[in-house]
Amino acid sequence: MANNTRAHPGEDRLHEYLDELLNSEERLELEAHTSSCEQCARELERLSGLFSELSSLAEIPLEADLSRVVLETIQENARRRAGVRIAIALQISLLLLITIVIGPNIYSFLTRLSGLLQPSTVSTWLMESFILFQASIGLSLQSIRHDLVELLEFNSLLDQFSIQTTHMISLVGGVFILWLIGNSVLLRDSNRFKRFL
Amino acid sequence: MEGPSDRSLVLRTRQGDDEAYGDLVTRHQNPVFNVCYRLMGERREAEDMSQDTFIRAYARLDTFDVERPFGPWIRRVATNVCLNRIKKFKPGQYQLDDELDEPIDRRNPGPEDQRIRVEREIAVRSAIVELPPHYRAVIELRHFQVLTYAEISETLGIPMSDVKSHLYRARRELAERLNVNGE
Repeated sequence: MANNTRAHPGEDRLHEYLDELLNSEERLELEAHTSSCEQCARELERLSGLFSELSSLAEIPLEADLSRVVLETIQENARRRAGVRIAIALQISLLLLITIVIGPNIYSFLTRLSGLLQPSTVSTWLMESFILFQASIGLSLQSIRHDLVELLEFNSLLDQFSIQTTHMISLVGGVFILWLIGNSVLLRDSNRFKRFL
Repeated sequence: MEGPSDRSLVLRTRQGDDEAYGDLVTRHQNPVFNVCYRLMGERREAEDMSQDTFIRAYARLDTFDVERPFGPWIRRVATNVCLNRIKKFKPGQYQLDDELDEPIDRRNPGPEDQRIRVEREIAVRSAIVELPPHYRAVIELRHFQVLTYAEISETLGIPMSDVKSHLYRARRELAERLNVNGE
């Protein structure tokens, strides 16, 4: 077979020919060239051989049924997602509650600290609302405390450890905030769950 | 095809019927596993990737167009799941196991021509697995899933020019590694 003197079509053209991307005219032109060009014919044959090798690769049977494992994982992920949603909703609610309960304490603390905050109408109204809400919560807590003291007969201790209700509320609020921070750290580390979100 | 159609199973899954999705998994797990096996080259890893494929597909089932066939879609998802996994491998981290990953026939060699055929199959699989990730993906999508260049471009999110260059280079590398002479 003698080499054709016309320009070689280029390797990309051979790929396009095998991928059936050429129109009929281009196909005939390439076939005419390869019939007289040993180099291009060899290259085309080599690529064609690779196509055959790939198409003859047998399918491998899967030895296990995946459906059960897949469904279990999907259901577990759904449960986790629901748990996280509840935890987030609970934390947001608690955060709001804590803000309302200990808000006046923080506000008055900051006011005393800086001496710069001049209460506006809105902030005064907010503070009054906070104090009102806090008072109602405080009364409930005070009532619970007295009930507990009477129930456990700790009357003598009450005189020794006179705890202000506002301090108690601040303490509880602080503990809740620490709890929230701890939980958010735990949630951030749940990388395995994030994969499927 | 016996039983409910893929379309009906997808619609039932969307309405919360997980058992319908279980049927879809059973029906398509073998082709999906083979996609993963060709790309990963290791049975255990291929099974893990197949599971991941179905779990991810479940989460994205709302994006699937029920008027189109489910099989090609799930195989494309499998390709992307494997591609993402392969990209996380460090170079040289991945090795084919000698016995575990060979077809079962290899362990019980029969006549000479069968042995040669099995040896050749192992060589082809190894050559594919040794390709860079994107080359592997285009070979899989073009030769085994019979996608057009445009569909490959869309599936992998790369320009058409990259699809062509990856595909042609991948074939060149495969032909060299396999010493294909066209006979």
